[in-house]
Amino acid sequence: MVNLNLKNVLYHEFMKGEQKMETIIKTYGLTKTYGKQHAVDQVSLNVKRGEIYGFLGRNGAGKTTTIRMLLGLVKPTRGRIEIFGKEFSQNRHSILKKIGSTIETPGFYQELTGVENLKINARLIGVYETNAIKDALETVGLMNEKNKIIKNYSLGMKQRLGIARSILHSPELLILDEPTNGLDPAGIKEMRRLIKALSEKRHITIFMSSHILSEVQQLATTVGIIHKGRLLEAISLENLRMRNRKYIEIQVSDDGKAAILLEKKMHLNDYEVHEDHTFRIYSHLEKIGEINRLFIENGINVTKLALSEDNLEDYFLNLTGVK
Amino acid sequence: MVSLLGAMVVPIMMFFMLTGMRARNPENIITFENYFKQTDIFILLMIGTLLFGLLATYVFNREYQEETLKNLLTIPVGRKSLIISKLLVVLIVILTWMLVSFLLTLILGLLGRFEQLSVEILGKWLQLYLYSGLLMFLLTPSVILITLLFKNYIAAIGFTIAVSVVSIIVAQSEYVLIYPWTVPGIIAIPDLFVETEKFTMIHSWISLGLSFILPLTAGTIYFEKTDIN
Repeated sequence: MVNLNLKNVLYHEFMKGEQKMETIIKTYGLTKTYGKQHAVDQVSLNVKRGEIYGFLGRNGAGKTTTIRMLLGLVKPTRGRIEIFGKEFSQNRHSILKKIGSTIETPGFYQELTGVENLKINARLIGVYETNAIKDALETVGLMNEKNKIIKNYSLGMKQRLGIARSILHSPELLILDEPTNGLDPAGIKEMRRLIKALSEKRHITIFMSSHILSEVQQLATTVGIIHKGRLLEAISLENLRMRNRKYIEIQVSDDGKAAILLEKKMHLNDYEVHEDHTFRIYSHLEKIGEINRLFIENGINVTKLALSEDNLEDYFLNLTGVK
Repeated sequence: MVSLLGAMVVPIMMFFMLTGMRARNPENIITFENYFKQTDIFILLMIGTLLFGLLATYVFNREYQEETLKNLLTIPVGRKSLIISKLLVVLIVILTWMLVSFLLTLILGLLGRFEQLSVEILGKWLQLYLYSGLLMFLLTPSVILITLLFKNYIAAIGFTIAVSVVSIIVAQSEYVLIYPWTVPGIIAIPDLFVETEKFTMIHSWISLGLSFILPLTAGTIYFEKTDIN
C-alpha cells in the first residue's frame, strides 16, 4: 500500500513537472511590418505553462503589437504562432476560448454598470454559472462597485474590471498588456497582488507586458526583453540573478587618484567609474576592507561603501545599449 | 433615442400640416389613407436616410468609440458574425421604429378624427410601413462601409446628408428610378412615379440590390482583413 501511494505521488509530481515544461505560447520569427518599419522583428517567444512571463520593453518597443498578433487582432507580416500546441491561424476560435486578455485600457460600455458589462461578456463567452461573475468581482475586489456605471469608475477600477472580465471563463492563459498602466502606487500594488494570486491560486499562465522594470522584477518568473521590435533576450529571473555580477560600490572624493591606486597598488582593472565619483569594482570583492584602507591612507575620503549586485534595470539598460 | 424621436416627428409634423390645411379649408376631409401615405413618403424620401443612417453608424461605430471591439474579437466573436449580428440589430430597430411611426400615425389620426379608417387600410399600411423599413434597411450597408473605413460618426453623417440632398435634386429627373436613395420610395409606393422608356421597375430593383450587396461585401472583406489597433 505504501509503495502504491508512493508511486501515485511520484506520478503526480512527474505530471506536474511535465505540465510545467509544456509550452503554452510559441512563436517562430514573428514579424509585423508597417511600410518599411519593423514594429516587431523576428520575435520567437517560448512561454511555459505556469510561468509569469514579463514581456519587458520601452514604450514603442513592439510589446502591444506582439500581443495583438497573439490575440489575432493584427495579422503578422511573417512568422507563425502556436498556442496550446496548436497553430493559431487554423484554430483561432478554440484557442481564444482558453485565453483571457486585457489590451491597454480596457473598453466598456460607458452607460452600463460594471456587472452589466460582465453579464454581456459572460453571455457572449457562454459562461452561464451563476457564481462566475460574483467570483470574478470578488477576486478583483469590486463587489461594492458592481452597480456603478462605468463612467464613474476610476482608471484602477476599470483595469480591475478588465481583469475580472478576462477571468470569467477560467482561462488557462492570461495575456495582460501593461496592466498597471496609469495606476497610482496603491493601485499598482493591488494589481501586483492580484496577478500573483491568479498565478498561485488559479494556476493560470500569465503573459504580461510592461515598461516598468520594477514591476516585472517583482512579478515575473521569466523576462523577455524586447527593444526596437527585436527580442533581445529571454531569461528566467533565477538565471538572471546568477548571471548578474556582484560588485563593490565605493564613492570617493578623488576618482582620478583612486583609479591610479586601484591599478598600481591593487593591480585591479575590472571597474567602472560613474558620474557621482562612484566606483564599481567587479573583482577582488573579498578585499573590500583593504581597498577602503588604501584610499583613506592616501588621503581619499570614502563617503559610501557597499557590496551590491547588478539588478534588472542595469541588465536591461546594458542590453538595450542605453547604458 | 434621437432617431426614435425622429421617427415620431414625422407623424406629428404631418398631423399638424394636414389639420392646418383642414382648418383653412373645412371642406377638405383627411383620410387615413392620405395620412399614412404622406407620412410614409416623407420617411422614405427625406428623413429615413438620415435617421436610419445615423442608427447604422451608431451601432457599428460604438465598438470603436468605446474600445470594446478588441474585447469582442478576442472572446472570440467572429468578424463576419459580428457584422451579421449588428445588421440584424439595425433591421430590428428600423422595423420597430416604423411600427412606432405607424402606431403614432394611427393614434393621431384617431385624435384628429381623420376619416375612412378600416381594417383593410390598417392592414395595407402596416404592411407598407414594414416593407418601407425593410427597403430602407437595404441602403444601410453603404453607411456601414463608410463607418468601418473612417471609424467615426462625422464621415457617415456627412455621407447621409449628401445622399439626402442629392435625392431632392434627383427626384425631379428620370434618375429617380435608379438613384438608390429614392428607389425605396418608388418600390414601396409605385403609383408615385411613372416608369420611363429608359428605366423600369427592374432597374430600380437592380440598383437597390447592388446598393445592398456591393458595400456589404466590400465592408465585410475590409473588416475581415483589417488590423484592429
